[in-house]
Order: sequence, then structure tokens, then C-alpha cells
Amino acid sequence: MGYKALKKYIYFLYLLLLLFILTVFLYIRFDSVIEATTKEFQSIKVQEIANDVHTIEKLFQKILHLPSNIVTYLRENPQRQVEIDKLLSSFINKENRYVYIIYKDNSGYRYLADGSLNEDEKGIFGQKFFPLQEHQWDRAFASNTAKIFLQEKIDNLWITMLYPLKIFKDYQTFLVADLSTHAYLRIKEILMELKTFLQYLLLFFITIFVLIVALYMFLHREHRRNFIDPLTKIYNRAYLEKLHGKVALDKIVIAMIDIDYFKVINDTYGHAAGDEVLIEISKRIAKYIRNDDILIRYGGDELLLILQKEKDKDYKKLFERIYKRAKAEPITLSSGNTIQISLSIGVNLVAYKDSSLNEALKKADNALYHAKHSGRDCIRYFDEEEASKGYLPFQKITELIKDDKILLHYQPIYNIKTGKIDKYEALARLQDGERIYYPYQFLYSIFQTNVYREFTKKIVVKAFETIKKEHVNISVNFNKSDFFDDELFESIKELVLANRDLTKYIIFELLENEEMKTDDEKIINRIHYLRELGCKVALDDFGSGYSNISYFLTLEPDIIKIDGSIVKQLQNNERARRVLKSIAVFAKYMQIETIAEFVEDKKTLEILASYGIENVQGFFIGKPSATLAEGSVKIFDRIDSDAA
Amino acid sequence: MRVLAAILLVSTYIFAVSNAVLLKASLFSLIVDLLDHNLSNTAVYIDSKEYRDIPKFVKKYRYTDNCLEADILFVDTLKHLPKECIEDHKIFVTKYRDFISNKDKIIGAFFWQKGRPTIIFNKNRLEDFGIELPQKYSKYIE
Repeated sequence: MGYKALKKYIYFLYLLLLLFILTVFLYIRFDSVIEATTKEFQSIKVQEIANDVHTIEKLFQKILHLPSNIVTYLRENPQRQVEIDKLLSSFINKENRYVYIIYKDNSGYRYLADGSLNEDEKGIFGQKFFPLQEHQWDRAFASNTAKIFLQEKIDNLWITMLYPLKIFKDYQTFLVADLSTHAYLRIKEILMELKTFLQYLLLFFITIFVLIVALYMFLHREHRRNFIDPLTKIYNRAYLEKLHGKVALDKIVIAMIDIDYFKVINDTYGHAAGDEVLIEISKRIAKYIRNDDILIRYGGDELLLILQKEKDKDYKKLFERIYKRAKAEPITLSSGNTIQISLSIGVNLVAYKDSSLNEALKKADNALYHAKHSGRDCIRYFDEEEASKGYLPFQKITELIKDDKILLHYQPIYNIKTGKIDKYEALARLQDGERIYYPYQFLYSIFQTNVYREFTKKIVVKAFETIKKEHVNISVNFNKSDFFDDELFESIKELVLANRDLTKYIIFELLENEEMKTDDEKIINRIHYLRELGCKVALDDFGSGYSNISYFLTLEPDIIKIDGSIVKQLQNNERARRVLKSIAVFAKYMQIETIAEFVEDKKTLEILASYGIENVQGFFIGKPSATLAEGSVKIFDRIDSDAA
Repeated sequence: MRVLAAILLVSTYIFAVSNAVLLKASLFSLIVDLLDHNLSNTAVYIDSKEYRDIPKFVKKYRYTDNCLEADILFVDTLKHLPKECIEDHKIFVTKYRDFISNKDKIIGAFFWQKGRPTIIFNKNRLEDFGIELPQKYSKYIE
């Protein structure tokens, strides 16, 4: 049972609590219950005996025809004593232990008759009777009224009842019934058993409660450990995995929130400051959402917000409010520095149109991508119409990949020293027979899904097919996170192992769009493993994005691809030339091969050649093309014609 | 631990017997004192199921198995007593019927009926022995 599942049983717990309170109340009040029950029983018995007395009196008069001067009469007619005793004995049972008649003369109380069957217990006519609790008897005889009292001094007797027999006139006579404790004790025993049962029930409830509290604490701790991000105290990505298939897409809206220039904050103020910013932003956003809404730390600086949809609510206004308030105040760091942050937000308001949560997330991510590429610090909503123009629907992407409608275009890489094309960058496209689709139109939508894995595998297969056929170096682009994905890595590994003789031709080109942080060691070890198998590793867009000098130590790349933004400025920017020159010298010193991207004219090529850059790539060399031959021919043609 | 358990057991036993038996013992003692208040070292003979445990609780008298040398006898029935013991002895019986059918021989009866203790002294026999009970016990004389 999970933490949420426990919540489902909250009504059951309330019922349990109610029963527990009821049991406690009953237990506390139980002595009163015993008292009330015994009183009730006592009153029933009193009524019963009163009826018996009435019957006995009638029998004395109507059947035995006893005269009113009974004492004198019995003295003169002792044979009648037996009849009276016999009649009284018929009223003796387990509860009415003794039934007898007492009269009082000058010297005290004496037996008139006794229904006792046991000879030792039987009083004889005229025998003196010495009652205990004599004052009770005296009062009864003085008032000539019925008297009922509890026996305090006689074992096995519960109540003594005295009823005046008004039919006899010569002496005051009382019918006496001593009730045994038999029934009383039986009732008390049953009630005590019930009390014991209540005690066990209480113990049971307490045990259940202790167990539930322990279970709740355990689940709460487990839940926190498994699904709560220790830094921001909001849900982590594992929680999102749990949500798949459980979220009703027609009842949610999704937003992807990214802290702008988060890397700069980390680099400028340190990772601790970055953490503080993340914590503060998470807190601010959490303040404006309800308990049902879900805030997840989706990535390093990326938050995912899943809001429960309300009818007629203006979500654009809501996101506008969250966006404005979350970034309104500058964040004061513990170091004393203040940072004014901004946010890029991508929203999917039409999640109900998506077939899965993943697809809905991709759309929000897509919108975020647009927000980031529109200068950041803004909200972008996923636009169905716009998307339909350029972006492929998830379903179509899935089908194209499944049907192997993947096309590899190869962009040539020219080796300045040898004057030959000796490498190609494989660039993936999808085609549906009418059009060709570029990665920006589909890659975002499938990223980190099974379709993406399938897509990546097929690209590697195709790359190896070309290598096998042409024996040329081909680089294939990978995200660093691809190597974190166990399933995907296993597939790549299998393909590499199946092409052991061709591994020297394949280049794993790592994109610079992701920073390596969590579980880096796993990624690094896997990249090293591929290098050990003979594959080459290239760092793409070096000098931009998340590129870091420390990668030279950890990833030990064979090749670095210098970012196009530097190359583009070579002709006009002295600083760009210096940076590039430094990279070239540094790479040479580190024995790392260099490739300059975005080479679009001859002059740039010449500058690069003069700085010792070994390889160049760009439209001047050759555009990506479906066939190797065409590409290489074109490049040579260009160089030759320019030379000419 | 064992000592503690033993103490607990004994005290429980004493407490359990105290109510019924000690009342009987104190009434027994009262009867003997009323009948023999001038004598010291009164000898008591007991041949009764009802009173056989009394010596355990009342230690101030001398208990004898010889009815002849006893000052007071407590018996369930006269049948087992030798003639010599019946004559000139203060005999207490434990049944009312025995008391009324042997009034010339018996000084009193002490028995339990309906959970209540009953003591009855025989007026004639008290006079025979020259015993005069205090006024407050006169209601027990018949």
C-alpha cells in the first residue's frame, strides 16, 4: 500500500477511530452498566417475589384455608405445618434459595414455616431465628411494610426480601425470601466477560492504531525518500513515472518551467547558490498552487507543474500570475548576494488531446523550447495550429520510425592536411513519401521515450551499414543522457559488439545541450567502454552550451567540434580568432583532433587552416546529403572551382 | 521469588479462611467463656465435623480426646458419647433437632442455618450448672 493508497482508506480509519472512541466510552461507563443491569435484575426479582407473595397468600387462604390466628392454630394443629412447608418449598429454586415465614413474639423472631428441603437448613415452627442486619428486620416489623436489602455478611446470599403477610392477625408475620447470588453472579460474570472483551477490543484498537501510525510513518518516510526531491522538497522525477497511466489527461494542464541562465548562476555564485535559487523558486511556485496540484523537479533547473483542471478557469491568467510572482522579488542568497532571476515557461493547455502523459509533456516541453528560443523570460503556450505546420504529431513520428522511414543525411568533414573528405556527420531525417522532416520537428516529442530508443538504434544500424559499405568515418550525435539510459546503452553496446571490425570508423558525437551532473560516473564509464572497443568520441559545439574543460579529463574525447558561433565571427572579431587559436593550440597539446563547424566561405577556411585546425565542416565544404558520393564530389568541385 | 510466592499463597489462604472460620471461632470462644468463665485451663472435647478446625484458631483452651476429663463438649450427636460423659457435662450440639429432643442432657446448640449463626442455650441446664448469663444474652436462652 502506497502513501496515496493509504489516503484512500482515510474513511476506514475514521470509522476505526470512531469505534475506538465508542469502546473507550463504553469501557469507562461499564461499571455504571453493571450497576444498572444488576439494579434492573433486582427490580425484576423484587416484582417476581411480590407476585409470589400474593400467590402464597391466596393459596394460604383459598387452598389451605388457614385462619388468621395462625400461631395459635399451628401450635394446636402441628400436622398443618407440613402442608405450609410443602407449599413454600414449591417456590424454592436456584435463585430463591430460602423461602420461609417468620413471626415475632415477646422474645424475638421465630420460624412459623420453612420451605427448605435440607434438614440442616430447615427451621422448625417456634424455633428462634437470629437475623443478621437485625435493624433491617426491626424496621420492617415496626412499619409492617415490605423491606428489601442486600446481604452483606452471608456468603452466597444476595438479597433478603421481607413481605408482610396481612392475612394473619394474631402475630406479625413476614414471608422471607433469601435470594442466592447464583443468578446475580452469573449476570455479573457475563458482564465482566464483556468487560474483558472490551479490554481486549481496546487493546486491539490500540495495537491497530500503533501499527497504522507506524505504517503511516514508514510509508511517509518511504514516500519522501522515493518521491520527494531532498533539495527542493517537491516531487522528484520518479514520482512522475508513477503518474503515467494514472492521470486523467482531460483533467490537467501542464507547464514546464525553466530558470533562465541557471548555469550562469551556478558558474558565477557556485552550485550552493544555484541550489538556493531552486529551493526559493520551488517555494514561490508551490505557494500559488493547491494541494491537488503537482510540482515536480523535472530536471536540473526544470520544474514541471501539473495543475488539476477547473471548469471555466482562465489558466493563462493563472500562469501569468505564477510567472510574475515567482520572479518578482530578487533572491537573496545566504552569501548576501541578490539575484534577479527570470523564468521561461512552456504550457500545454490541451493535454486532453494527447494520447499519453508523455505526449502531453512533450508538448509543454515544446512550448518551453519556443519560450527559450524567443529570448527567454516569457510564457509560451503549445499552439496546435502552429505545431501542425512544422511539428509532427507523436503518433505519426511513432509510425514513421516503426516503418523505418528514417533517412540518414551525411555532411562531409574535410581534412585540411590531406585535402580529403575522411569523415561524415550523420544527420537523421524522417520521410513520409511526400516530405522530409528535420530533427527539430520530431526529436523533442520523442525524447526519452521508447520511440526515441528505437529511433537511435536504427540510426546506429544505418550508420554501421554505410561504414561497412564505404569504409568511411561517420559520426552519430548522442545526448549524454542516452548513455544513462540502461536499455538504450545495452542496444548500442550490442550493435558495436556486432560490428567489432568497424568500430574504428564510428564516432560518438556528444551534444553540448546537457550538463553532466547526476550519476556522471555511469555515463563516463560507458563512454570509456565504447572507446575501449575502438570507437571514437567527439565533443560537439565546444565553446558553447555546457562545454567544460573538465570533460577533457573525464570523457577524454578524441575529437572536439568547435562551436559554429565562434567560427562565424572569425573574419570580423579578433577575440573570436584568439579564442579559436587558443582552442587549436590547447587541442594540439592535448592531442585532440579538431573540427570547425559552420565553415561557409573560403576565407574562413583559410583562417582555420592557418591556426592549425585539422578538419572543417559547413556548407562551403558540403551540405548534408543522402549519399556520400554526391556530397564529396560537391565539396571537391567547390574547392577546385574556388582554387581555380 | 519463591519466598514471595509462598507469602502470597499463605496470606491468600489466611484471608480466604478468615471470614467464615474466624467468626465461628470467635463465637465458639464466646460460648466457652460464657459457660466456664470462672475456670482456668478449660478442657474442651470436640467430636464434630463442624468444629474440628477450631483448635487451629482458638489456642487458649486445652483440647482433649477424653470426654470424661473435658469441661465442655461439642458434638454432632450424643450417640457416640459414653454415658459417663453425658451426665454432668456441658454438652453443645450442632443441630437444633438434637437440641430439642435432648433438652435434659444438652446445655445448648450452636449451628449455622441459612448462612446465619445460631446459638441457643437451654435454660434448665444452665440452672443445673449454676450458670447465669449476662442480661444481653438472655434472648439466646430457651
